[in-house]
Amino acid sequence: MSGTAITPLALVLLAASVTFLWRALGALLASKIDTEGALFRWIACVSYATVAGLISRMAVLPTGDLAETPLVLRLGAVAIGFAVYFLARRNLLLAAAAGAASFAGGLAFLPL
Amino acid sequence: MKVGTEASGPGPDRRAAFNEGVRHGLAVPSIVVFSTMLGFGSMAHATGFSAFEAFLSTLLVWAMPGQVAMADLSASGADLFVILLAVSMASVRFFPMATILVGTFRSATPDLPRQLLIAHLMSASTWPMGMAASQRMPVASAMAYYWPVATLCITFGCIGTLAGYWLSADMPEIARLTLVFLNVVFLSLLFAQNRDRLVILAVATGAVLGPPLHALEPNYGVLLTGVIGGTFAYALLGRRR
Repeated sequence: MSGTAITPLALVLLAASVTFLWRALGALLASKIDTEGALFRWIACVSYATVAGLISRMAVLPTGDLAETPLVLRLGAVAIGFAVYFLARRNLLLAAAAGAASFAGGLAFLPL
Repeated sequence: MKVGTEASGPGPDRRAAFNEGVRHGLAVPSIVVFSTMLGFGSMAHATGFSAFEAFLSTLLVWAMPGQVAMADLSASGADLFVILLAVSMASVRFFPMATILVGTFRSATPDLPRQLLIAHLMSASTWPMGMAASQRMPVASAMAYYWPVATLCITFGCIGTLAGYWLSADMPEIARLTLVFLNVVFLSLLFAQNRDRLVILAVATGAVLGPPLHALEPNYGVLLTGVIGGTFAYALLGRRR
């Protein structure tokens, strides 16, 4: 059955259902599991590694339009964000702005 | 590791935590989520969805990679089964993430409907923010902090989707790219908030493994990264308390 055989609205609702399934399974497991136990700590490690992996993949191997920008510029701008974060007493807003501004500056002024 | 334990010591009370959540939700995350969904909105427009369908998918799916997979594959005429499998695989990460987040907030929110709502509002932005809050304040306060953060994020996400649907074609290239990049910087910075050695190790391992495993196996790279990286960190630092 082709994805075009159903209406886009039905597709959106089905996509929402298969996504919610994982969230609901997690919520159900959460009420059964010992939150002080080893299993919970292991799953927490898996979660942190998963999200970190996803985000680092977005920086190193982005999809879409960002894929056209230089890797050095992306990593450099993230590094500037981190530097500002720790220099500015863990100010997330300032750090994110600095990272984004260096990226925009790089795009505008570097011969790419 | 302070996952799921009652944070000890002093911390903001629930009202102060709520106000902090409103401030945090209105500051960077709203701009970041707005710009992420701006990208999705313009993609939904290009792939033939209506504005209402685009809006609904942000509200109900609320997972950027899954939404992109849905729009991209349906535009390419893929089988329904393939589309749903791809969307589902893109969101498996929510299973461990929801287990940890809902488990952490369990004592403050014992009823299932609200636990499901916590899990639904969870995203790559709200999860680290909720977890970081649970490490620095009592669970009831962290819960009061999470609600406004999560609600504001999804609200701005929906507005961003519609804005992207109608506007993004008119934006200058640099502005559009920078908005997309803002996500990468912001989400990376959320990890700098962690001070727990085990969490830092799990994050570092995941960040190192993510790109090569994705290059090796695009469909399951994220899952492999989580399982391998998380198990490695746990084996090294997690077994002793």
